[in-house]
Amino acid sequence: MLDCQIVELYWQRDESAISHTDIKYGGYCRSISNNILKDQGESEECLNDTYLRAWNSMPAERPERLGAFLGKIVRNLSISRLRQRMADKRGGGEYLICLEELRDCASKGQGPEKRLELKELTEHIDSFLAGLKEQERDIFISRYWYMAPVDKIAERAGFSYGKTASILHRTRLKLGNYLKKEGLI
Amino acid sequence: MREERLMDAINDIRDEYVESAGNFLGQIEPESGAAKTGQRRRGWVKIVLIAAVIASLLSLPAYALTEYLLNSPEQALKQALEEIERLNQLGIIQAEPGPDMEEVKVFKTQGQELGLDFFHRIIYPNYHVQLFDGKYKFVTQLDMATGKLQFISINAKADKDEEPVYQEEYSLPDGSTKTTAKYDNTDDLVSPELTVGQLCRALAEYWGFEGYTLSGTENKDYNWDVEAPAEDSLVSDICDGPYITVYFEGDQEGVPMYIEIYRVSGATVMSIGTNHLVG
Repeated sequence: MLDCQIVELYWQRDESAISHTDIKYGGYCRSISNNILKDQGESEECLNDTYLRAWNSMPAERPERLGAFLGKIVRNLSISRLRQRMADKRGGGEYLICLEELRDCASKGQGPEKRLELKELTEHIDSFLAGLKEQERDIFISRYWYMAPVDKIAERAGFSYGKTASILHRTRLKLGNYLKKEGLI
Repeated sequence: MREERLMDAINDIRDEYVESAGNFLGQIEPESGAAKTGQRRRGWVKIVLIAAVIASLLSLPAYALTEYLLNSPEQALKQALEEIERLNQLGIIQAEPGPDMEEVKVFKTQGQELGLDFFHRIIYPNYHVQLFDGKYKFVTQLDMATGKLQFISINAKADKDEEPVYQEEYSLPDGSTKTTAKYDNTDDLVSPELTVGQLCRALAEYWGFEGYTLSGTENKDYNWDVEAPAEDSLVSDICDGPYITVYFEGDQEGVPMYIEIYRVSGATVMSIGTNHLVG
């Protein structure tokens, strides 16, 4: 079923919208959540919350790209849940490793830096991503948006683990330089 | 800037980037493409259960004994047109359906009090009336007992000769390109002079509420945390930004209403209503 047809079902308050959403995007959302939480039970709960949030927001929202719309919700919910878990001193999964890697691009808390709204920061990241080659961008987003393990990304790209890790490293350096140039770190 | 903040900002990158990487990972497929993932049906039972809960909640006859004002689709359609006209008379909107409808849909929802923890709203038995005349698409929900609008969303297509304020061409994973364009046509929905105070007063009059209190808007999904708008600020200025959060005296106690205007490709949309659909 096309995205627009599923969205129309939400707008008509037709509960089969959820079944169709699960058929089309259940595996996708589950995978995003699992990469972050590494816990199938918690991922299922995040997925259920995602569907309820989608049901609750349509109408009035009419997402043009339902997959990305749901993906953003489930990623946000999963990170929130993980932060709660980390506060409770339990495991941090792939998220913590990604955070550690991104430390290269973040500031050390010294020196002048612009304080930006999150939305503005996202716009800067979008501009940075627009300047990358498509494959480089896909690899970067696979790692830091989807939090996919490096070996899985390597397999999908047809590269060795080392080459993929090297591409990620170089892209992080580029992002760090870009943010520095923009005065953000 | 800490790395957590960077990670949060990455969440809202352009949809097409998310979709492209999802496709690269084999987790999402383009609308027209072939399936690339086999991981689909796990957890199906649980989701079906949620759908079943929603279905049962929507079908419980909690108001079976109520006498209704609206008892047929014909009545509902007539009432919807009258209520839209009333909103125009009160200056709440400036959007009227044209005489030639391209599409009309009327259907009934059996609602009941779902409770605030579930949908953050109460759904009363209502008729959905959707009208599309080529320019406007009205999506309305009418309380069957009172005939009043519980919710209205209006999608106003930009005119053909209008210049876009934002345009972008992007590539789809299958190699084709698509253009998205957004327009500044909020004046197809509300008067450019309409203030937030005037809008809320008129809505209170329409629903018979005794007054209202404007509130700040906080929405973590969009990273919005803003003060209440000034009474004399313009409604059109909320377009694409934080929606208006307002508490009406006489509405569901402690539950805010959200009034928003936002742009989608080729159109601008406004939504308001006591069904509290956003939040």
